[in-house]
Amino acid sequence: MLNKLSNSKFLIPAMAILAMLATSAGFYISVKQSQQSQQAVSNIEGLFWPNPKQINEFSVLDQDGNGFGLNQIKGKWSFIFFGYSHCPDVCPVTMSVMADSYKELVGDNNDLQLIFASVDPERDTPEILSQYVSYFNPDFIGLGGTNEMITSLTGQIGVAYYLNNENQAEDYLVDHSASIFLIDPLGRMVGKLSPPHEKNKIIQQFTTIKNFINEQS
Amino acid sequence: MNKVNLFLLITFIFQILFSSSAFTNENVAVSFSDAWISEAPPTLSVLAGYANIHNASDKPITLISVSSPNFSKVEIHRSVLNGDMVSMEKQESLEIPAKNTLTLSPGDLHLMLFDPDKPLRSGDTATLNFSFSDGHNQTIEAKVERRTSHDHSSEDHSHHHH
Repeated sequence: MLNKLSNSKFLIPAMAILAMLATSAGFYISVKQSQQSQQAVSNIEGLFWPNPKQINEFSVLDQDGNGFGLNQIKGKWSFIFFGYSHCPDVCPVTMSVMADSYKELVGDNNDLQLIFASVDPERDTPEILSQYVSYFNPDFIGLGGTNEMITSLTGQIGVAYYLNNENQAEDYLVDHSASIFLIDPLGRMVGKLSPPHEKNKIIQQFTTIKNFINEQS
Repeated sequence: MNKVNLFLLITFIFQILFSSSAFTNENVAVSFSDAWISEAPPTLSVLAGYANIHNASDKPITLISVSSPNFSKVEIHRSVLNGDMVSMEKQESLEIPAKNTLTLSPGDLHLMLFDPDKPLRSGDTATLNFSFSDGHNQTIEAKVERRTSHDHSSEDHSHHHH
């Protein structure tokens, strides 16, 4: 009995010390972890973290003329590129690289979708969009609609576009973003892939960002 | 006899050298390689063309216009990346420096080819006529190709196709 009592006298300070040690160790570990994840963030090119922009409802039309909004991007990883079909140089190169990357990624990522969003509502009718995107990959989604519809998406993503040399009535050009935007299954814009676009770079950047986001949840 | 023969031979060689260099300056100072047109979805009315333009002479040469019987209009453009924004800037002319090569390639300088006279598919060819500031013209055939990505462009393909 005496022995046990004397033990318990020691037990309380011992426990207190242990608790302090454990707390400081825990604190140390959590600091260490946050340092590591901070480091990871700064090392991931194109990642928007810790405050990715939440995409709100938008309303555009897909290449079959059906409505396309927030519900169609939820639950999927989306690559979105803003361009126009009458752009003969930068857009086809970007579309080809996206299609090539998709072909390699889709085996391990069945929740991936490729989106081409037109910033040229005047010329890019659903019919032209449909032929345009399917030329690069039949799974490609083409988005368009009225100018107002398109800005419901571009405004949120923060991409600008404007008509260039409007004096050329038919052959006008459109200045637009050259980046590919990455939206996660929760509808958050978590990354931006900057040009020049290359297949291996896109695959590597996407995989890194996706793994990082999955670790956060 | 030998000395006379030697003299004639030297004169003969000199004449060949002289005349061939004169020939080079006037006609074949400019040469083209890897001229190709990027295949596009069949409904599109604008295509892009690319080539390497070599200037073998010791003077700069200026390309002032390009035309084609297969397109309604050809313009020279450059894709310019400004921050995140990309735009195309029309070029009124292009200078090819002396003893140098000017490369027209995806994402940079290119030909804008408007309204093809028929849908162009991989393997088809189109005629391009280049006019230079010294008054000479050069006509080449460009092959329509589908080059899938940046990762394997120009050099490799030119070996396959030419």
